[in-house]
Amino acid sequence: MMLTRLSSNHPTAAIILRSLAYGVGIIILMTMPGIVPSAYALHTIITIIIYIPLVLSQNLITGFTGMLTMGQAAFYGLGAYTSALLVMRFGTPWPIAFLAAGLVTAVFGIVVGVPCLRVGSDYLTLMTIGFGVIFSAVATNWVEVTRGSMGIPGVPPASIGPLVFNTLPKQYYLYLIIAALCYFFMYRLTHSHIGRALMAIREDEIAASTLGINLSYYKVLAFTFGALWAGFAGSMLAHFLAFVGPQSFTLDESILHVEMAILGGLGSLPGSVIGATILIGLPQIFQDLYQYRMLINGILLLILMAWRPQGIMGKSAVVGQSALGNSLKGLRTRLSPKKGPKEVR
Amino acid sequence: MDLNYLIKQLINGLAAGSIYALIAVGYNMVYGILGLTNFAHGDVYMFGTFIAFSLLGTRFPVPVAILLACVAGGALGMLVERVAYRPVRNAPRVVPIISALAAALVLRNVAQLIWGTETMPFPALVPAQTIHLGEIDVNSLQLVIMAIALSLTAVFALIVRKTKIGKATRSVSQDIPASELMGINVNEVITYVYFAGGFFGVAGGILFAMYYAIWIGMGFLGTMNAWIACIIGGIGSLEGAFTGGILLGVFQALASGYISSSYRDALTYALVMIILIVRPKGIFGRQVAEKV
Repeated sequence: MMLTRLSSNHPTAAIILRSLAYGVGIIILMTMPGIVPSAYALHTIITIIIYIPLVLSQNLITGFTGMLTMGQAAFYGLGAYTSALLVMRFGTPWPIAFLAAGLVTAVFGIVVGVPCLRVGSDYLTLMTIGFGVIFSAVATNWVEVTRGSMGIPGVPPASIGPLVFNTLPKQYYLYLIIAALCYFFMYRLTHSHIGRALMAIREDEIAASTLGINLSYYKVLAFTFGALWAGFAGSMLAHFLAFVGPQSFTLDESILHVEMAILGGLGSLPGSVIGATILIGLPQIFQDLYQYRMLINGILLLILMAWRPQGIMGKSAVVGQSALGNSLKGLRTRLSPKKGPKEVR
Repeated sequence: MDLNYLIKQLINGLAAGSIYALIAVGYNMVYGILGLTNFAHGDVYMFGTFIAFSLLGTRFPVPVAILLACVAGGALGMLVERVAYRPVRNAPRVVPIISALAAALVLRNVAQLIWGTETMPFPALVPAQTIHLGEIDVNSLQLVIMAIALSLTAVFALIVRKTKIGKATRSVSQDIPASELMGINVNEVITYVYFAGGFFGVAGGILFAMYYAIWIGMGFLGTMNAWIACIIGGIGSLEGAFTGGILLGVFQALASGYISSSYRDALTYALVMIILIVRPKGIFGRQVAEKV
């Protein structure tokens, strides 16, 4: 509040304040491994960092382009398996395996994205759920490659040449850089002409196509970039946990990504970071309530949809006004005695 | 190829398919009335089926217990519509879908707190005896399930086709404002539809649990199977949903009998994806141009 009031009156003061806020934020991020109370807390923070590319890519597809995909966990898993298998079976250096994970998932993003062009909104959701189920079935049953439900243990940590990221602080810095790169990528993408085309498609496909926006091209583009970053996140996860198993990439995982993007706010990049932080961080803080966490999640979502469907950081334009707010407004107008019915011309 | 094996798989498929058809017909109605992908449908009837499971363990007579559970399922459907869908009915599409998912999450987790996560056998209400028809063995349970599922589906179709409330329902699914102008109480009709969806859903759920077993996950599985059946048949048509359910059951039986049972669900989704790519509106669905 104060920031916005200052910024309207004193532009220079606002710039100084904002730089100060950014500076403090960067210092906190840089010194995080030193100031967190325990290794477990740092572990949680790294988990949040791994989720940032996932939620950003969910947001790119759902929040910016308006396609409700529920198959991001499959790309996440595909990236994790690709990276782990390349490093363990073929001795590929980690940076190449990391890039390959993104490349493979991006190709699958095109493969899944193209048929999705043919179908309407609900069917697209079903298609992506279907892709997730097929991925799970292959990961569980193709035992020769994936070791089935036993998973692949002992995935080595990430390394660049002689530099091995084998401690939590080292992993923290590496992953923080990757997540920051992802944020920068998404920021540039959504603030470019591509981002504006995606948002135009979200608002009204027919209107967008009459303005010369190639719907197919941009939709597949959103899918591909979303898959790319989900694949990178998968590689991050595999080398962080040192384990890949099909249980981590189920439909529930995809729904979690959707929840994070929606809680933070569809169409808001900082919102995605907040959404991931809340939904990973809060269950760690309230561990006594662990068995109720999905129940609480559900109730939270129900309330959120009724009161603030745009999420914490989202703008109301993205998903329209709060439905309950509207009906309350309507009730108030109806109850107010002074305002009569509108005159009919 | 062994003919007897094929016939056995077909009978398995028809038994499962008739359950899917019963559930899909109800789902189709619920889907059609608001055009809302009801992610909570399966969890509503899963909850109702668990209520039946608990009531059957008490001294209630079997028919009373089943009827009570069906009514409870219907009431639960109404509650979900009131709490999760009505407040967001006019919001953009993504909002009610998420709301439905959230309602499903809540139902599943409440059920999990009450009944746990184990897979349990459902009490056998019908004697399961093997009947020999020439060289082919048929299970009496399968025949009873088929008979019950098909007659309930027929009852449902009669209600939708022949009664006044059924007419109002069809009218509301076509055009809500026009129905309102014709003096139909839209909210009341929607409430009835959700009741019927839950009621017939629990009936299907009990048959499903008798045929397989009862566990928390049957809810979401049921939602997806009903949705897939509707898509195979084409959303919005009663015959389509029925045919879709039967076809789905037969396809799954053949897929697990001849290809691999561990890839059954993956193959089902692959089939749906192919159908959606070739005919995006379902096999029996009509292509409708979008109005601007």
